[in-house]
This record gives sequence, C-alpha cells and structure tokens, in this order.
Amino acid sequence: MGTGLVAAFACVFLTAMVAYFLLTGGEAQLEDSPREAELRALRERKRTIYDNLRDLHFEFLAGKLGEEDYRRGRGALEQEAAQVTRKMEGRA
Amino acid sequence: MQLFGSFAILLALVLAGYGVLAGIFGLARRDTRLIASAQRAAMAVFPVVTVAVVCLVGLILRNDFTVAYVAEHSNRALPFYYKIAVLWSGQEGSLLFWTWLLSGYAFIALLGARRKARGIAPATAPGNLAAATAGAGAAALPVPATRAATDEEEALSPRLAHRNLMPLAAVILGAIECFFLLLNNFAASPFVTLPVATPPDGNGLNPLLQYAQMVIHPPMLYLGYVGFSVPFAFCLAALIKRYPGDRWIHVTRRWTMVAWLFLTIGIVLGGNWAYRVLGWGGYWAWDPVENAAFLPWLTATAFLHSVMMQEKRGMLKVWNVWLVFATFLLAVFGDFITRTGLVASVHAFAQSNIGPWFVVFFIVALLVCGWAYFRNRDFLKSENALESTVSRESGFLFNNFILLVITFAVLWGTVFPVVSEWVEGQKIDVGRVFFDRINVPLFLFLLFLTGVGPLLAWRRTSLNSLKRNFTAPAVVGVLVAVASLLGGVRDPYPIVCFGLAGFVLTTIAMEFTRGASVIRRRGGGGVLGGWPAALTQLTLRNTRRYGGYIVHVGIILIAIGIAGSGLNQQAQGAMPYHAQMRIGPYTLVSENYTQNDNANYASNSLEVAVERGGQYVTTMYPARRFYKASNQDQSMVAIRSTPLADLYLVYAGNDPNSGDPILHAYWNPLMVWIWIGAIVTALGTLLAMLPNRRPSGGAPGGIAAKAAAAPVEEVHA
Repeated sequence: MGTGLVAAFACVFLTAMVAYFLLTGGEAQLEDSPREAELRALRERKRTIYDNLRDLHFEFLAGKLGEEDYRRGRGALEQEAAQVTRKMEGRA
Repeated sequence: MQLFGSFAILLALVLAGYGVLAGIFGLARRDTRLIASAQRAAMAVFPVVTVAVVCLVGLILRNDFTVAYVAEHSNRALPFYYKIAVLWSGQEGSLLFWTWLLSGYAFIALLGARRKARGIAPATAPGNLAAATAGAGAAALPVPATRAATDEEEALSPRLAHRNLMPLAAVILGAIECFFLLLNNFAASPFVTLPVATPPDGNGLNPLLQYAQMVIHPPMLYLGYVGFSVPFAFCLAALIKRYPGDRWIHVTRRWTMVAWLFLTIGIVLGGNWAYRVLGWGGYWAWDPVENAAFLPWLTATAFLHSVMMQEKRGMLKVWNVWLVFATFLLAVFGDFITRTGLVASVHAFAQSNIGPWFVVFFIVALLVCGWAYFRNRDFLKSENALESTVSRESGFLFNNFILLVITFAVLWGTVFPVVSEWVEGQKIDVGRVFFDRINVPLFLFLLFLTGVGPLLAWRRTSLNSLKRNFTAPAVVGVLVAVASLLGGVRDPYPIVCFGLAGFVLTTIAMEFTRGASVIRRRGGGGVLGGWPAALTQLTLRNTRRYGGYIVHVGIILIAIGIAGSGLNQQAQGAMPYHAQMRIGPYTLVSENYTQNDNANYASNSLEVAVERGGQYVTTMYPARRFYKASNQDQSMVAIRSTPLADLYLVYAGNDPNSGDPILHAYWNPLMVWIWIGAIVTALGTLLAMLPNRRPSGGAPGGIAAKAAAAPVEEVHA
C-alpha cells in the first residue's frame, strides 16, 4: 500500500511537471514569406557560387588545376553568379 | 518503481501523440501558440522516457526479479557495469533504450532550434506582427522591407533552415517516437511482472555479451540507427514544405554525419567484439545482423558524397532525397530483422511477436516518402547537367553507383533465405562466398575512386590536369603493388588493394602538401612558418574537406587490414604439457593448465609460451569459462597484436579421449590496422563536423577571397 501510494504521488508529480512545461512559454516563430524565402534562397545560391570561386582559385594556386581548367571553371561560375544576381534584382 | 516506469512510458506516448496532433493542426492553421506547445511536448518526451529508463535500471540494480525482464536477463552475481548493459541486452529493454535515444535526439534538435531562434529574428512573424498592429495604426508601423536580422552570415547559415523546418520535423520525429512508444507500452513492455512466484535469482546475462565492447557496441550502433531519424525528418519536412534554397540539405548532411559516425563506431566495435569473443579468428561473417547495420551505412556514405553535388552544383536532388529516405528505411529494416528472428543470426534477439508492427510501420513510412516525393517532385529539379564524364561530378556518380550496387548485393544476400523459403519452401543461405565474390572487386573499385575523385576538377578536367595530378600517385601505386608481389603476396586481391592504398594515400598526401605550400608561400604558416603550422591552418580552414581526407586515410588503413586477411594462417591440435605448435613465425609451447572459480563463472585456462627463432616472446592465456546463472560456456580468446600481425589463440575444449586441452591458433597479418583505421576514420569525421576557422591576413582563405573578389566585382559590373 505504501509503495503504491508513493508511486501514485510520483505519477501525479510527473504529470504536473509536464503540464506546467506544456502550458507555459511563448509562441513559435514562423518562417519567411514566400517572396522573402525565394530571395534568401537566391542569396544562398550566390554565396555558394562565391565559395566555389574561392575553392577554384585555391586549387589553381595549389597547382591542382591547369590554366585551361581554371579559366573555364571561373568563366562558368561568373556566368552563374551573373544569372543569380539578375534574378535577385528582378525580385527585389 | 515498476508502476512508475509503466506510467512514464504511457505518459510519454500521450505527450508524443499530442505533439504530433498539435503540430499538424498548428502548422495547418499557422497557430504559433499551438506549434510552440507541440514542440514543448516533443521536448518533454525525453525527460519522461528518461524517468522510465532510470526506473528499469533501478529495478535491475536492485535485483527485483518480480519483473520478468530483470529475471530473464540479469542475476545477482553480475558485475555493476554489466547490469547497466542489461538495459539493452533483451528485446523489451533495448526497445525502451531505442526510444530513449530517439527522444534524446529530438530533444537536442529542438533545443538547438530554440537557441537558434533566439539568435535570428524572424523575417516576418505573422503572429507577432498581428499582435503589434492590433494596438496601433498599421500605417504608423515601420514595416521592414528586408530581413530584420542584421547579420547576413547568420541569416544565410543552415541554422535558419534548422529553425524553419523544426516544427514539421518535430511532428515527423514525434510520429516515429509514437511507433516505438506503442511498442514499449503494448507489445514489449519491460515492466511486466512475472505471473509466477519470484525466483531467487535471475537467468543472467548472455555470456557472449559479458565483454567491455558489448557495453559500448549496442549504444553506439543504436545511436547510429536512431540518429538517421533526424536527417530523415528534416529532409521529409523540407520536401513537404518545398523549402526554398539549399541550406536544408546542410542541416540534413550534418545530422547524417553524426549518425554515420556513431554507426561506424558501432559496426567496428561489433567487428572487434566478434573478433575477440566468438573465437573463430575473424571479425565479419556477412551475418544478417551485421549486414543490417552495414546497409544504412552504405546508403548514408553514398549520401555524404552525393550531397556535395547538390551543395556545389544543385544536382542530384532526387537522388539525395531518396538516399536519406533509404537510409532511414534500411535502419528500420535492420531493427526489424534483428528483433523478429526473420533470419537466423548469432546477434539476433529471440523470435518475437513485434514483426507485424514493424511491417506496418515500414509500409507507412514508405508510403509517406512516396507521397511526399510524387507530390513535390518538381521541387527537386536539377539546376545543372553533367558536362563531362571526366569531372568531379562523374567521380561522385560512379562512387554512388558502386555503393548502391553493393547495397543491393548485400540486401539480396541477406533476404535471400527468406525469399527462397517463400518460393521453394526451404531456406537457402548464400554464404560468405557470394558476398565476397561480388563485393571485394566493387570495394576495390571504390578505393580507386577514393583516390581519383578529389583530383578531378568540377565540370570538366583537361588532359594536362590529369597528367599533372595522376602521374605520381599512379607510380607509387604500381611500385607498392610490385613490392607486395616481391614480398611474397600471391593472392591478386591483396596485391591490388595494397597498390590502390599506395595510390590513394599519395593523392591525399599531395592534397595536403599542395594546400599547405600555398599557405607557406603567402606567409600563413604562423610564427614558425613551418609545415606543421601550415597543415594545421589548412585543415582548420576547410574542416569538411580535409576531415574528409582523413576519413579516407582511415578507410584505406581498414582496407589494408582487410587485405591482410588474405594471408591468414591457422593450426589446431591437442596441447598436453610441453607440446609444441608452429604458426606463422612463432612456436607455441604448452606450459601449464589452471582452473579458477568465482560467483559468476568457473574457468579453465591454458598457459602458452610464445617463442620466435628460439627466443621467448611472451606468455598467453586462452581460457574457457562456464557461466553458472545461464549454464553456458564461452571461450576467452588470447590475442597478441603487433603492427605486422596478430597471434590469436583459442582454447577450443578438451580432447574427449585424452582430456588434453585443444588449442586453435591463428596468425592474422595486418589485423591491427582495421582498428587503427577505424579510430582515424572517427577522428576525421569529428574534424569534418567542426566549423571552419576564418582565415585572416595572408591566409589561404584570404588569398582566395582576394582572388575571388576580382571576378565577383566583374560580375557586379
């Protein structure tokens, strides 16, 4: 009987703790509006292209890439960055 | 304690269920209070399940044999640390342990999102904005035209994706928790009491599990299996929400790395346990349960490579999503075959009635994945196409193709006994010959790609670059292969493996030295200006890339260890007093035979002197133990490891006629490199998970940044 009573008190205490935790606290934050989310995605893409440019240049300095590969890679990335920038300007 | 534990898992189920329903309704109605409440419920599951775990451990430590699970898996004489391991040694306890880890992962993910939410102001928080506009004229309010967060870095980091996806990811994690909590409550409760009188002592822990590795191995393996639920939840959430941008894939990749690390450690510890405990001289037998752990490891490895295609070039999005789904589903499948006795295995739990639960869960999960994919497949359109077959992209494609073929081969070999029973009425085991014959050449090709991939340029690689990058590694590879042939290796696979190891290690060394030389040229080697400082700076500034190379070094070391098994030797014989046996370069001499007895077990031990070229080397003590509680005996292997080879001795019983002890000896070359390789792999993974250190001054990033600035300005112009 004693053990059962202790167990019952423990159960009530646990439930009360959980209920208190559930019922207190603020609100969740919702994500960006679709337009802002799309702009953010383009900024992310632009950032990735810049990172790729940095990697490409570092590999060139390290002697891993030949002149031809470097120029081709850099040209393609610059073109990609220009496209993304145009898209961003169009949506701003 | 038993009642309180039962109540705790019931309460956890209610909480998880509430979290799922409140989360779904909250998201559908964009009710921020309901979403917050659902997330708090999802967080609360962890402490509540912790209470249940503490209760079960308490019952085990108190030797409360009124509880069936404790009576079945523990006994009074069991040492403390093995009593803790009782928690996951049986079906019911391990399922509770699984739920606990899953809720722990969810708790950490939610906690991370809450912390991150404080650091990033929302772009538009409709709830907050509505509340603000309620008391003032909307025209008077400065409506932010752009993001409120001033920190561009923070806004573009994967943390924002983590926060934005968390509400739906929490619902998905909660749904997975619900499944396991349903099992804990209604199919395999660890708190069920014995229907008969309490026994004076328990049946004890399985002797095979009474090893240090077995105290660590299951938690690591479970952390791996369970951990794949988190990237699955984020990936599915991103797909359902059609989350714009690619930062969600960073979140998914980081969580996959965590789970992959744990699974790798778990698999290697399992192999180490098999090697040290099972006494057959090997570490991997293509056992169904071993394969079950290996399958999600393969797909996760494929994902960790192919994800770079998505991050760098916006390619392979569908492929990546399905790799994450497949990894999670294979983890569930692994749990299913381990627990249901579907296939016979030394590692499997006893047959149980929870199979149908897993089948239903697996089908539901598969349907949800399929529904999410078909509904949103246009969201996963590739942004670029493959430009050349000689490019980094094609290297990753080949890598993924090989990993997938291995996955299918292992899966087919694993389920073949079940399929053959359905079709022909009898179980046919394909055996390890099938697995070795298919997988060994594929793994060798994978090793080759490990060396080739990093040396190829993105998009296209010219012939000049190929010559520049591949000449030295190819020469080293051929030299190593020839040296191993001259050194007496005759089996073609080890020769090819050693040659490829030389090739790959050279490519990795070149990557490090070339990068460090750039730092040194620009004076970025620190005060000392030396190679160690330059290498350290290089590694810390791109932890993912150079951590990845260290992981590759670890994999190569493991491959070297595995190739060594092609040179194994073994001998067996009765060893009366002063008898001798020859194995490898050693002579073994039987010196003594002793017996020991304690509360947990009785043991017989053989004392073997090891000599090499007539010189004494060491004494080894292979033994055999009889565990009293479980009435089972178990051999205790004696191992002497050196970098060149392991000497592995098994006390294989006594000769039925003479009573002399029988010794089974193995000589296993290069074995220790498997374990060293695993440690290197784990360290490399940890390094790859660290954030990059920002370069300063004349550092490589600085140089690169300056260099990159030129094209960027041109672009803007």
